[in-house]
Formats: sequence, C-alpha cells, structure tokens
Amino acid sequence: MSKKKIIIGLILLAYAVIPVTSPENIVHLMTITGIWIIIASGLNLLTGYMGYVSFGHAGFVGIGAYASALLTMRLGLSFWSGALLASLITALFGLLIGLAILRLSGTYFSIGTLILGEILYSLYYNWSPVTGGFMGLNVPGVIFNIPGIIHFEFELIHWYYFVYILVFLIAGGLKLLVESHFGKELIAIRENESLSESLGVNVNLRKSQCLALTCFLAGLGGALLAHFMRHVDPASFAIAASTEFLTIVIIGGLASLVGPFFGAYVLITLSLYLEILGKWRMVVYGLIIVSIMIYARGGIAGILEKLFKTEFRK
Amino acid sequence: MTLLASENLCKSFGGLAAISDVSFEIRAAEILALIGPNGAGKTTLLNLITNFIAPDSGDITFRGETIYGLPRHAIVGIGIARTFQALTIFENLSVEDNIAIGQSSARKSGLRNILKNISNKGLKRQNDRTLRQRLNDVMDFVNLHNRLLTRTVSTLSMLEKKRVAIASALASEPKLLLLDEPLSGLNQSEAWELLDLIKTTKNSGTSILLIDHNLEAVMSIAERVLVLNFGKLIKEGTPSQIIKSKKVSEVYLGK
Repeated sequence: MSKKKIIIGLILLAYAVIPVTSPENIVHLMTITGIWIIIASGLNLLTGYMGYVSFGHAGFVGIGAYASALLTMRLGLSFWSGALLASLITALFGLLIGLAILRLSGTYFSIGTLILGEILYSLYYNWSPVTGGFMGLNVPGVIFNIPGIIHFEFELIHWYYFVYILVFLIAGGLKLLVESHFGKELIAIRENESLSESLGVNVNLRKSQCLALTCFLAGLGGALLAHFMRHVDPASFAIAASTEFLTIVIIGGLASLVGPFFGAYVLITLSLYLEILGKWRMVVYGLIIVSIMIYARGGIAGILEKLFKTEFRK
Repeated sequence: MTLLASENLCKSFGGLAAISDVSFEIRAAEILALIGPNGAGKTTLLNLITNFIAPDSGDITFRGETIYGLPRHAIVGIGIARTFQALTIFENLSVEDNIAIGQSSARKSGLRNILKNISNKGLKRQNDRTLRQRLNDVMDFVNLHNRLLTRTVSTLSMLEKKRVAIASALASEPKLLLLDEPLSGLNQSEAWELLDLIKTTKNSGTSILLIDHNLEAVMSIAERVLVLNFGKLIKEGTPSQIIKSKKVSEVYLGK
C-alpha cells in the first residue's frame, strides 16, 4: 500500500470518527461546511478550471433550494427524488441561461452573473406566493424509508455521513473529470479560447457542459441546505453568499481539487474565531483574504504544494 | 489534385474591401506562399479559410465540399489546421498539454465517453496508447526532445515555442496547414531550421499555405506564390515568375 493511500485512508477515518467524538455544534458546522464544499467544488470547475468567474453563484444554489423545497412540499415528492430533480432543474437553468451569458467573457461574464444573482435574489424575495417572500419556507426533513425494512428520520449524525459520502463521491468524480482530456480542454479554454477553438476544441459545447455541471452541484448543495436547515429564505442567496462561495474557491486554491476543502474549513474557522472581534471581524477577514490573493495566488493548496514540493491533489 | 478552392471570395470591413474577388486553389502536397505588403489581406484570407470570419460572398471548398457555416472547431476535424501571426500557444501549460489539445478532434472527450471509458478500461488504455504514440511522433517530427514534454512552454526558446505551435497544429493530422508568419522573431539560422521543418511537413503529405515577409526564405521553398495587394490577387505563379514580374516589384518597391 502506497503512502498516498495510507494518508487518504487516515483522512477518511478521521472524517468517520468526528461525529462520534465531537460535540454536536461542531458536527453541525462540519455538515454545513460539507455542503459548501459540494457547491464550491462545482464553482471551482467553472472558475478555477475554465476561468469564468461567477459572482452570482448563490442564485443558482437558491434555485436548487427552492425547487427541492417546493417539489417536496407542493408535489409531495420524497427528498431523494425532489433533490435530484431540483439539481437537474438547476443544471437545465444553467444550460438555458448559458446560451446568453456564456457569450460574454472575462469581466463581462462576471458582471452578467452578478446581475443574474441579483435578479434571482429579488425573485426569491418578492415572489411571495411561491417562495414565501422574506419569511421563506419551512421545509420538511428527510425520511429514509425502505418499506418494510427500515424507516427513520434523518438526524444530525445521518446528515453528516450522508453529506460527506456525497462530498467524497463528487470529489472522486471531479478527479476523473479534470484528469481526463475534458479537464485539459477546460483549462485550454481558460488560457486562450480562440486558440482552443482553432485546435479543434468544441468550445461552446464544453462551456455549456461545464456551466451545467457547476449548476447541478449548486442545485444539489441548495437542496441539501434547504432540507438540512429545514428552512429556506432569500437572505441565504444574496450577493454576500455568492462572494463567500467565490472566496472559498480562491483562498482554497483555484483549479485544485482539494482547494474547496481547505477554503471551506478556513472560511468557517475564520468566521467563528473572528466573532470576538465584533464589528472589526469583517476588516480582519478581508485583510486575510486580500493577503492570500496577493501573496499566494495558488491559495492554500498552492502554499502546501510549495511546502511539500508535490502536486497536492486528493 | 485540388485540396482547397476559393471562388470569388469577398470580404469588407465597413467600407474597406479587405478581400475582393479572390479565387485560387491549393493543391495536394504543395507549399503555396501568400505574399503582399502589410494590409494586403493575407491574414484576412487565412481567417476566412478557418471560418474565424465569414465571407460576404464567394465560397471556399475543401476536398470538394463547402466549408461555409462549419463551426471553427470542426474546421480542424475536416483537416485544416493553422497557427497565428503573433506566436499563440498556451504559455502556462506543458508542451505535452499543448500538443494534446491539438488532438482534441481525435480524442473523444465528451462526458459520455468519460463514462464509457470507466466501463471499458481496456479500450481506453488502447486509445490512450495510440494517441500517446502519435503525440510522441509529432514531438519527434518537429524535432522537440522528449525531455521537454513536461516543461512549461513559457520557459522554452523562441524556436522551440514555434515548434510547439506547429506540433499542436500537426497533432490533428491535418491535410492542410496554414502558417501565418512562422519565421517572424527568429534569427537567420533558426529561420532555416524552421523552413526545413516546413519542407519535411510538406514531404509527409500535408499541404502548406505559408504567409511570411521573409521573401528570400519564402521563394526558396514555395512551389507556387500568390501575391495580394489591397485585397486583390494581382499575380500567381512560380517563384521565378513572381521575381521577374514587374507588377509585383511595383507593389513592393513602387513605380
């Protein structure tokens, strides 16, 4: 067994024992962070690998959250089919909106997504009959049911394991994807779109596929958040939330598979420990993020890569 | 045998006729040079052939079929590859990745294929090996040493970068290679080395349309030469005919 396999085994083991050994509030935070990792991993595909910076990502997460909430509440679907359908709806939305916004590049794409995020936020806030307006919706929890065999309602510990199984499955899937020629093509698009096209990369198709995948994961994250918190409201999908997802990706390390993990944990730890600073919290938080962006452009993954002189990938 | 034919091609930008009524053909396995003063429309013509811009009228056929309306990436798929005027390669990527991107039309990289590859590892390994072999062949062909494979392109010399650009264009195994000023930025001896490569490429069966300002070099390797001036084709012939042409020397030296 290689050293790498042992390390991965130990990490997985640590994840497995955390809920047993840690207080409930930590497990709760870890679960939310896990969902953030799913969303940020998707965003990393779009922003880190393909180079399209989205400033309105929370809007997509919102689609998944509201769609899953409404599908289970209004149509009586189970969480499982509701969440899957909600993710697919978000991906479809990404494909359709991509027809317009993927024609933009660079800063213009970012401005486009910023506006899109704002439009979606307004929609969640103002379309009260459907979204519950600023009060939001109370969402049913998750029931695991195999008729006649097992039936229980998801509690914190189930959520924790469920989310992290998804996190690692998705990380594995993304690893396959970015190491394939598909991943190389995304990076080529980031580096030079017209050169990629002239070398035979179907740029438009790859861009739509990438956005759809990113949106699928955003939708999935949204659906998980809605049912885990048992509540959705527009505030969770405002621009501030979009900025947070982007921050996770950037401080974790753009175009690194483990980047979203580092980014999410650092962000949540920072926001916890900086609580004592009161209103100065945001200043210090901002300084840390700006320093990482100036002095360590590869993010935390980049720093570790330099330290260990190895490609740091899971 | 005609490989590519252009018929009455016209393209204007605003009121300026960049290409007017240009007809010519590129034959199989030949080096055709395209010369003319700055602003004559050489690069515009190349952009028309690769569908980077659409013509106002006229048609371009490749192996008998019109290329009009084909998406840009599909132009590579039918066998036309190009390089750009200012050296354009993926500076931040490795040599290997640069060339692999050139294989995009041969590599089935769609999402469906990733799933298929997981289910059929043997086939994937075999495909990978073939493509890998081709990548190495292309490296050999353009005279890039294997140890450069993992080097980041930005660390290479100018000549090596030019070789990478040509290698990634050749990676799609084109029937026609369009080279836009490949010799610019090279010194005399480097230029001769690159010309050697262009000749070898032609000898391996790939036709070449060569744009360059280094007339001495161009005349030494081209079989036929087209001269453009103000968007019009003013002369077509062998290098010796072109050199003797009064019309051409007027364009370059004035009346």
